[in-house]
Amino acid sequence: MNNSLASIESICFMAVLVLYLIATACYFIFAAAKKESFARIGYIVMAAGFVVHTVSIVIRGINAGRLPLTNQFEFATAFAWGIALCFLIFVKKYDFNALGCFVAPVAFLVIGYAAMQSREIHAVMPALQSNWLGFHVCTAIIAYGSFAVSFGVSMVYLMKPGLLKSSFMQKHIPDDDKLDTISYRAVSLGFLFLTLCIITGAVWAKRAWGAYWSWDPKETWSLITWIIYAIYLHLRLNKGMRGKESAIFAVFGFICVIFTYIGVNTLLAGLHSYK
Amino acid sequence: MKFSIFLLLVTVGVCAAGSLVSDPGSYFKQWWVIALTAVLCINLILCSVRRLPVSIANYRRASSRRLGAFGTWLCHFGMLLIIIGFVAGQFLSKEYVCYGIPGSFQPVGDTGLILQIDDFDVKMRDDYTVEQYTAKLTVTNSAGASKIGEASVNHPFSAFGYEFYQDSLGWANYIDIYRENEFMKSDLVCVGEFTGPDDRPELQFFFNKFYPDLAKDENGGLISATPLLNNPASLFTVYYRDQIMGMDVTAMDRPVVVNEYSFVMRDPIQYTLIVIKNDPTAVFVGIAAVIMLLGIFASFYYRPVYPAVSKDPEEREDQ
Repeated sequence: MNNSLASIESICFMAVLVLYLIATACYFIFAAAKKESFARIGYIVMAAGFVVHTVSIVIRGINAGRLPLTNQFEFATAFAWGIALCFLIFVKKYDFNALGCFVAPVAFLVIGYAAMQSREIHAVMPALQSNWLGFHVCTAIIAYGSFAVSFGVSMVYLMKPGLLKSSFMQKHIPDDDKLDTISYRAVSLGFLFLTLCIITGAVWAKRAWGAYWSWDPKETWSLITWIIYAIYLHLRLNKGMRGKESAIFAVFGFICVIFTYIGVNTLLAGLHSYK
Repeated sequence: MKFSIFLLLVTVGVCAAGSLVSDPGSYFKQWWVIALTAVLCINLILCSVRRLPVSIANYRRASSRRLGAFGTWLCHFGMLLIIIGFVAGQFLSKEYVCYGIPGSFQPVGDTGLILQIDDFDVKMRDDYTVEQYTAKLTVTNSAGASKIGEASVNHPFSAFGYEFYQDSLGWANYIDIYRENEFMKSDLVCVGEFTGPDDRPELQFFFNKFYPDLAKDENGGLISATPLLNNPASLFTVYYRDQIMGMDVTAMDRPVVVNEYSFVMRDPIQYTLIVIKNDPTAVFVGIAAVIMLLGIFASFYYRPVYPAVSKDPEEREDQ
C-alpha cells in the first residue's frame, strides 16, 4: 500500500464529506431563506463533491490494486457516490433543484456512515476475488441511487402541502404529476438495476459456493425489496396508483433498501457480512 | 390483481420471517412455504395466459418497437420459470461432501465417481491472510475414465457433469494409540472427530481444536499466533461412557496417558473439504432470469410505439 496515495485518498474523502455537507446546507438555506442562488450553489457543490468523490474512489482502487467495493466502508462510499450520480442526472434532466433538499442529506448521511467505518485497506478473501464483484456491486449502486432519488422526490411530494405555503417554493417544485412521474422513473431504473444486481449476485454465488440462492439474509432482503417495488409497479400500472399512495410506497421501499444495506449487515449475519 | 398483490405481501412477510430464523434452508422448505410458492406459480400462469392475447394485440397494433409489447408478459413468464426451476432444483440437485488430505481418495456418494485429492495448497500473503485455496483433483468415473483439474474458490472444477468446489479446510492429526506401551493402531483424525482403542470402545478420544502456533493472548486465552506450524498443539477431550474424563491441550508427540492407554498426536496436516454439486436446473433458471430481465427492460425502456389514433393501454399517464 502506498502511504502518499492513502493520504490523498483520505484528504479527498474528507473533502467529499465537507462538500456534501455544504451542499446539504445550501439546499436548506435555499428552502429556509428562500434564496434561489443557494440551490444553484448546492448543485455546483454537489457536482464538485461528486468529482472529488470519483477521484477518491479511483485512488483507493489504484492503491488497493482491486475494485474498492469489498467492505462496509467501500460499499458505503460507493453507495453515496451512486446517490450523488443519480441525483445530479435527475436534477439536470427534470430541472428540479428543490430535490436537493431531500437527496443531498441522504448522500451526506451515507457518506457519514462510511466515515464511521474502518478505512484500512485489507486484502480480500478468496470469495471476493471475482470479476462478478464489479458487476454485482455496480448494479447495486445504481439501483440504490435511483431508489434514493425516488425517496427524495416522494418526500417532496408528501411535504408539498406545507412547502407550497411559500410562493417561493411553488416556483421550484414541479406539479404533482411531474413529481409522480419522476419518482416512477427513478423506481423503474432502480428496479431494473436491482434485478440485474440480484441476477449477477446469483451467478457469482453459483461460481463461489455452488448455489445461486441460499436464503442468506442479504439475498432474502434484496428479494423483499424487489417484491416491494414490484408491488409498487403493479399498483401503478394496473390499479392506477398515483400521488400520495405512490409516494408513501416509494418511501417505504427506500426504508427497505436501507435495511437491506445497513440493517442486514449489522443485525443479521450471513455470507455478505464482510467486515 | 388484488389477490396477486395479497400474495406478494404474504411472500414479503414469509421472507422477512425467514431472514430471522437460524436455519433458513429448512424454513423455506416447509409445506406452507411450498404451498405459497405453488399458489404464486398458479397466479403467474393465469396472469401470463390472460396477458398473452393483450400482448399479441398490442404487438399487432404497434407501428415500431413491436417486441416491446411482450415486455410485461416476458417479465411474468420469466419469473414463473425461475420459480419452477428453483423448486425443481431443490428436488433434482445433488450435493456430496468429501474431505481428505493430499493423496487420499474416496467415492463420491452414489455417483460412481472416485475423487482423489492429489494436492492441496493454501497460498498466503505476508500478513498470513489467505489469497487462495487450491486443490488438485483427479476424478475417475465407473468406466475408468479420469479427469484431472484444479478447484479453487470462485473456480470450480467440472468433471462428468458435476462441479467440484473448494469449500473449506481444516487440520488433521495422526493419533497413535498404545496399550501398556504396545502399539495398537494409528488413525488420521480431523478436528471434530473421535478415535479410540478397538478393545475398549467406551473410551473415546475427541480432537477439539488445533493450534498451529500456540500462544496466549493478553487475557491468557489460547490462540494461534500464526497459521504456520511453529508451535503446534491440540485441544482434546477424553470420554468414558460418554462422560468427560478430562480435557487439555498437548504438544505434538507427547503421550496423553489414560489408565493403561496412551494417545500420541503427531504430524499435523491440513485437509481440504470439497463439495460436489450437480444442479440440472441451473442453466434453465439462468435463461429464465435473462427472459425476465429482458421483459423488465422492454416494459420500461422499449415500449411499443402506436399509431396516433390508438393508445398504449399500459401507458396511461406515466409518460
